Amino acid sequence: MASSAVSRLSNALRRCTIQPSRNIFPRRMQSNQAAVKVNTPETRVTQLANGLRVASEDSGISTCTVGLWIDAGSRYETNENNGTAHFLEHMAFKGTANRSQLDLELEVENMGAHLNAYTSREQTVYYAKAFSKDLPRAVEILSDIIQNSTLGEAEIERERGVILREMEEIEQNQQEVVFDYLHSTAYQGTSLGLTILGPSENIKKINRDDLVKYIKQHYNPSRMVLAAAGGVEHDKLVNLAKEFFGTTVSNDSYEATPLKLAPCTFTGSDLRHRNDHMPYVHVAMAVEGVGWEHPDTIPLMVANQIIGSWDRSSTNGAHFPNPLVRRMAREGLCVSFQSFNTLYTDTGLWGIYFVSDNENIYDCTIRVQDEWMRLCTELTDLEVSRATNTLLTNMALMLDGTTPICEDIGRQMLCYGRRIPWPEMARRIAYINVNDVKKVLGKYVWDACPAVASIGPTEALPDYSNIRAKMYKVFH
Amino acid sequence: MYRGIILKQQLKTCANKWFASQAAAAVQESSSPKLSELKNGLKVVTANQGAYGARITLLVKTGSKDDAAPGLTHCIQATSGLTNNKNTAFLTTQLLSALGAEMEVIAGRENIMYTVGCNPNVVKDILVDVLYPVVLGAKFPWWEVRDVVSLMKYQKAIAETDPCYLLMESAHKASFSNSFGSPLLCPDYMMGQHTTEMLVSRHNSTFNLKNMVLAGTGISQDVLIDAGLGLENLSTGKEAEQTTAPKFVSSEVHVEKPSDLVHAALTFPGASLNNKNAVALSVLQHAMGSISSIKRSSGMNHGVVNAAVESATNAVFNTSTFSLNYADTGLFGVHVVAQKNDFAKVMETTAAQCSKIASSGLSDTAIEAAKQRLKAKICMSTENSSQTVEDIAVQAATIGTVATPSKIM
Repeated sequence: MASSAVSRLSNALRRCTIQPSRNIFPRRMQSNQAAVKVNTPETRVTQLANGLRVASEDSGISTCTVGLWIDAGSRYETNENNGTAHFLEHMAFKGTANRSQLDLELEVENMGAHLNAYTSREQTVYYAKAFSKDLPRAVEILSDIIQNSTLGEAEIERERGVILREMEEIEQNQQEVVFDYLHSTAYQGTSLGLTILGPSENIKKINRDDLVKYIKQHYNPSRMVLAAAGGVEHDKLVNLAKEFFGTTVSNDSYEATPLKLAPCTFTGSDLRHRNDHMPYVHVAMAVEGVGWEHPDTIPLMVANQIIGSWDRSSTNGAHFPNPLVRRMAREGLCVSFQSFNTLYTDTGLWGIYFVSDNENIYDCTIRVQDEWMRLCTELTDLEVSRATNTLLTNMALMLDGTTPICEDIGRQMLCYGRRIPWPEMARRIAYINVNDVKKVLGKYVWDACPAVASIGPTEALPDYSNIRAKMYKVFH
Repeated sequence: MYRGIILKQQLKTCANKWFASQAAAAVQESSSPKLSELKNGLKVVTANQGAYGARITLLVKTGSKDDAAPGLTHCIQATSGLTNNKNTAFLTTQLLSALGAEMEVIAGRENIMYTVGCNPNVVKDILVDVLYPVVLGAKFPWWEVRDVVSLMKYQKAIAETDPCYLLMESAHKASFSNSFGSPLLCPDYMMGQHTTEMLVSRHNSTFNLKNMVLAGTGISQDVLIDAGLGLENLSTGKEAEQTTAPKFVSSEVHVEKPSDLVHAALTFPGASLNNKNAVALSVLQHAMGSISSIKRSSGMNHGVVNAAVESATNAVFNTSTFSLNYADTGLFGVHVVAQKNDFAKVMETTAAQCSKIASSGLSDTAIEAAKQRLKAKICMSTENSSQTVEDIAVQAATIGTVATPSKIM
């Protein structure tokens, strides 16, 4: 076993933000930014004969990011093979028919390139970042990884251990745990309720055949997007795609893709893991929102922005325009809270994650629900215009560099089938007014059954019936 | 009441302004950095002017190395955004939110950076109404300084959960004998000991325009110059005097913490930012191995040290080399992390490897690959405007020019 104790050197700078900290969800559970860049070259899209979509944006600079976005993730799994998508991601850079793991690493490192991969509930991503002149090699390496991975028995055994250790690590991260709980209760009985890593029984038994079968079933050109951003000529990229991916035939007949269409029903419910030895309670509370393509996503995102997010390290909390931030900062009821909107193909989770202690968790929950109800009934114009401004700035600042842009292209191609040009997105956000936000909140939040997941000393958390009863208000 | 009305009007105009010239955003211009020095002494530098979102950094050349009382810089950072000569803390926060902007303050050993991310159309408003008063007009009233102590304690507690932070602090303490090694964050015995007088005197002596750089990305040079010209030098202080360069000393610092993993740094004198050897040292850093750029890689192929230690020991470990360049000094070193039982052996092998490299050098292929990695790192960092705005601000402040990636190559 080589050096696995990796750690990053901090550059010995310290930071404090005046803005409540932005979304810090790890990639695999976060999917709530949708934005494009303004005045950048247009995104060109070409579809190859075998169904592979090639999308790129050429900014003419000397570096680029190129990657494969695949319509596959833990949602496409069953109880029996849950964890396979993530297992495959682990096997990605472990050698192919043409290169051993060490050859691959040496080649990539000596090019100065980066290789990365991640798995979410609905998408699997492999990407490379390199000099623009090395684009052909980067595409060739990606195609080699996807199509010719050795999946050697020895490597599988080693990664099995790594994944089991990774699970132990994730169990220490209460935020991840509570979001897994939230999915498992909100989408109980469906594949969206599965975790990305899978249960340890599955990890212990997944073998080479399972992986090969999964690749055959899901890594089809018709379900992939080759996306690129930076110094990338579209025509050149299309030729490279034809050369390295063009010969693969789509295997869609193989069990077709019925899973994709299987709806994942949302169930308002409650899941508590009481552990009085923990110092804090972590709670995630959400109602069913909408999927990527639904027009109501944007008003819901604006509503998120109005609720905001806060943690104890941010200064000036008590002066924030967001009433919930102000209240929490003044009353010291929680350690942090964060409003989220997680989107999937045909459903979504709109809610809030907060951390508090046993003494304050009751009041904290009440305050959060008060704020939800206030939004449904007493929202003001000023709040909405402020929130749209902030949303637009955040989206623009997030598209910083070729990698975020490439991620944006890949994700949008999978979610929308096209890339939404910035002016369109900006207009859609700008035209949101207070009535739109009130309307969607009335539709999805008011009197809706929330899903609640919690871990820690949960004794004082209100009962589900009480939480449910606070999802509306009686006016006299 | 009166104040309340004004505020509301002001906030409303802010909110409306945002879309006024949405379509007029700058087109992709050449991204090469531009630097000018204004009459009032402020340096203005821009890069990546076509980026969509704007980031503005106002850098002040002072940091924890200038702390007469340890932790003073930390206190300045923690009080940033509170009452100043123009706005209250309340108004500062409200204005930022109304303009859809976010502000971040980063305080280091040599610089304090106030960075705002916002829409390009509102940059001038942000600078004039928010950022200048925050930086130049800070008042440090005693009740706010008192209240900020809990925040400083919280920040410190969070930072100390990161072993890398503790390690780098110790490495600086061990490597520099003078105040350059003084802590970034306020030591416990100084918490709550900073007074308004101390803060104001430090502010008066160092926060003046000659000591500052205004850097921006996603914004044109002219707009930034325009916004910078209106500033008057309120402070009576002069440009920071040339202090004698901090001297590297050989010593050791140990911090005991219960943990399975042991972190250590083996440091050597590094090169300052304008030293011509700085680039050479960075090449050496990448030849020895910095951070792997492949997810879950074996870690054997991005430098020579890991591979050498692997062949000599049977331990679970990692090494990564760092090279920090400051204005008049630098720090080069290897960060070693291993399990406590294997640690002695891993550390010995690493040290032996370092002296072997020092005496017999490296192979040409290793150096070629390292150059490639360094070039890629530099080019890729220019993609990212939050990185770029910090880089150009620091370069303009410490060496007075801004290097283009092609020049470094």
